[in-house]
Amino acid sequence: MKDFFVTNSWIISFLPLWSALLIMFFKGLNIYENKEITSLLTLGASFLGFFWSLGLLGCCLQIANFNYEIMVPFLNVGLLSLSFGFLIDNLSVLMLLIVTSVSFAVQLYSRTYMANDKEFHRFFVYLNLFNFSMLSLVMSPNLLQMYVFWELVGVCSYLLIGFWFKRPSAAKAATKAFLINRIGDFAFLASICALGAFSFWFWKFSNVPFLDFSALNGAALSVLGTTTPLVFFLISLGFVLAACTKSAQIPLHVWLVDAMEGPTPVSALIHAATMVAAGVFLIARVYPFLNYSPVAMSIIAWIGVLTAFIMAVIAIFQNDIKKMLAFSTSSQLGFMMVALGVGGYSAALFHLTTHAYFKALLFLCAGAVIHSVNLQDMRYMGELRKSIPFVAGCYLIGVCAISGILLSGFWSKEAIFYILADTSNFGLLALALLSSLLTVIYMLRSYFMIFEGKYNGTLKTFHIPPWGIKFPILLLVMPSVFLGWLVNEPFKTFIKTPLALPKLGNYEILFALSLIIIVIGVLLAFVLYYNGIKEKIKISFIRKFRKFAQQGLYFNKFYEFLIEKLFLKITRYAYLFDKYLVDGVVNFWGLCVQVKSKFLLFWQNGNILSYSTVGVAGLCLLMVVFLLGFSVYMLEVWL
Amino acid sequence: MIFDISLIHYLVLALILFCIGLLGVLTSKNIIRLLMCVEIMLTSVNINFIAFANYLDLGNRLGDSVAIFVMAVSAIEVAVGLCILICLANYSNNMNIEKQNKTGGRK
Amino acid sequence: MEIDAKFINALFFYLFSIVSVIFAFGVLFLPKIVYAIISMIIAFVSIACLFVLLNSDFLGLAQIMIYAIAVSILFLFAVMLVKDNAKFEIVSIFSAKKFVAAFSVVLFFICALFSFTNGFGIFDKIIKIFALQTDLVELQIQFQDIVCLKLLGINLLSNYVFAFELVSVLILVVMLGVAMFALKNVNCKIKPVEKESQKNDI
Repeated sequence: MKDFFVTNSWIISFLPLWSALLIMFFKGLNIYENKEITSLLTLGASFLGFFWSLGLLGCCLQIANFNYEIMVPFLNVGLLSLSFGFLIDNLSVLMLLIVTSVSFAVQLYSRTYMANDKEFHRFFVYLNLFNFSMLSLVMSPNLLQMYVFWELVGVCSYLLIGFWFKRPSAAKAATKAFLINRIGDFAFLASICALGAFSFWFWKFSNVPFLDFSALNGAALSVLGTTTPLVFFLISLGFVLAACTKSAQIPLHVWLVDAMEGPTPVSALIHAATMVAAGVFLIARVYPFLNYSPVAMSIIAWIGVLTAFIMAVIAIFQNDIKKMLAFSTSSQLGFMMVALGVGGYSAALFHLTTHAYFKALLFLCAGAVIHSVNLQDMRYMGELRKSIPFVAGCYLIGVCAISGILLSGFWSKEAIFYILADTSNFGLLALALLSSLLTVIYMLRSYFMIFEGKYNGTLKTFHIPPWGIKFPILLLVMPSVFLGWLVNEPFKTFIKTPLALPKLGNYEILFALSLIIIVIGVLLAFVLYYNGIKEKIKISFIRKFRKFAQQGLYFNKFYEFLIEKLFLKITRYAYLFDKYLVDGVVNFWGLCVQVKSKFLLFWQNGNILSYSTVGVAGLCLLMVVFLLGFSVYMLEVWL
Repeated sequence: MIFDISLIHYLVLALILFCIGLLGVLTSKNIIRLLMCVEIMLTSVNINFIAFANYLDLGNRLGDSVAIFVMAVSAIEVAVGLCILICLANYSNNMNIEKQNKTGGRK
Repeated sequence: MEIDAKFINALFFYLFSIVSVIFAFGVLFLPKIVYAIISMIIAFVSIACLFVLLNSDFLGLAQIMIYAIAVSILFLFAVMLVKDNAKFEIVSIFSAKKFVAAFSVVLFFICALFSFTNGFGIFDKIIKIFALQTDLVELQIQFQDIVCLKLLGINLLSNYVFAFELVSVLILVVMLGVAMFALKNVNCKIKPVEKESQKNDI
């Protein structure tokens, strides 16, 4: 039974693919119009996947350092042999559980949320495709397969952001997300190629499938042996860049905010819980490799902490509920990055797990709010606790979880602070604590703006969320509340840092510090925002800063400037080069062929005389050639 | 000596006649003229055969026999060619070869 | 006496060869097709005389009978049967195709001449393509009692008897085929393309 679960684990990722194909096929042939069949197929695939993952979890818990790998040879070219397959170890089982459970909840939610959409079936096809790609991504045993599914995940994200493609803003957001992700994808591919090239003989001799994760340690040593540390650093930087684009880290975070143009369930599943975590997952997978480059690791840490801080600052001044949550996602991913950067492998993945649930919960609650008020701007909300108390309660639980008010987020963040303190990175620790404080403030601000204070909107009657929306939210509430307490200790043994872990000191002061921070944050938020947001502080500097932060620190403007003033000018010259040199060469050859064909066309006219003339002319030329050769030969013999 | 007629003289004569025939085949527009040029080419080949028989194979003169066959075949060819010509005349009433371009190519 | 015979032989050779070449050109360049046929007859007759000079009298006669009479009459009948209202352009009108044709024919001529004459005599010392140096007079004395026609008959009915019979079958087949072909067209009178071509001409 155990073997059955493990050996057939590929079915977890293929179930969504099959249901996507079935939906496409039956819908395309107009066999059914029933939305229930579509949602049942999808939900069944996710649920069965979750069930299967639980079985795998059982296997992993029984055997320490469980590792199962199946490889199918895929391509053999000369010395290079690539293989595809799947890998089941603790990390992938963890990710499988997260992805299947969150996607089950989100799919259940979207069954009601999207019920009135004309493109219901298309939406579910995309969701299934995304599930397939994401599950295959987490089960990839080697870098190349991971890259393939990395790209597929990006494509699904593109399709889902632009789901309402008739809206120009959605289409633009989808394109923007896709294009920015290309930067990271390119860096990823370049790094894979460089890694493969520099450690080629290592893979040949070590009897491990090419680019397999299990031997990255040796590969790193072999790369260091064949090239300079600078090249090694550049390869690591490629992986870091890839992770930064996927996980929306500074300075490539700009796509995530615009990605909120997609439907809210998509934001919950892809742009909060799973796909954006793929970057963190990548860093975790190549951790044994990156560990040999301390500079790259500290770059990860600093990028992470800066993202956590700056995104938190921006989130304080956001008025759009989904954009606020997007910045918050970016910030939380920054926490994971900083933990990975200082070696807190386990802490980062723990935070990833808890974050997936509470952020999905927050997004689903936001979706419910948007559903009932038909608005996204928090300034026109307020007092909603009285009309939709259930959503208010769940949202408050989510807020507590993310801000670390004793629910799951508290434990994961605590683990991150511990590891920061343990490796005595006090600068990083200070910034992280500050970001945590800001997290409390902006999350409570959003809660107060939406559910407390006075109602500022125009809509009189609210749409009360049905059970189809409430139930999935309830499903996500449970892990958000209990996951931190239950899993805190077992997690540390379940996900072990691949390399030697420094001994954890006893930092009780840190525990107290974070409690103090929470109290300060809650108090500040009460003082500032309890009675609805008003322009209380009239200092002009703050006002200017607010405008500055509301625009997301003008990152978009900066890119716009870069593209318009620099890139487009370069392309103008590149265009000239292309037009006159490249096209010129091509057209010249075309012209030559044209002239030749005109000549041939003159003789190819259907007239037998022309053909015989050409034949005789060819014969004569052959004779001339033959006789010339013959006479040269003869003269040589004679002389 | 210019009066010492040898094989090469006959060969050159045959070559000249062959070239004339070839030129006619390649350039004439009338089908009848084309057939006549083919006849000239065949005759020049006959000259070669008989010259070789006379100068190199006097005891056997096998070339003569081959010349007989060539004549027979050329007579057959003329018969078939003229038959086709008459059919063509019934068919399209045009003896200009350059108009007969039904074998494809540029339209 | 030998010199005289040689001289007369050479004289007749040049006479008949020049006549045949001139009238062969006539076939090409005479504007009217009937004139071309007559010039062809003259060329063939002179070629028959060359055959006689080459000691094969029977082939000369056959040449006259087959080419100069039978084939020419066939051509004349064809000219009569075919209403040829196309204008007879002279070959010398310049066009790219004709230029290429003439050029390649000249090239062919030069190449063939080059190979006949050992590269215009350059390779005489190295290689002999034809053993042209046989002494004709000696051979003629040796074989003076052999008659050409007799040899031809022996060859045709011994060495080449199979080919000879095959040629007769071929002639029979062609005769039947031509008759069928001509009769079929006369009976059916299918002229579908004629109208189209006329339309196209208009």
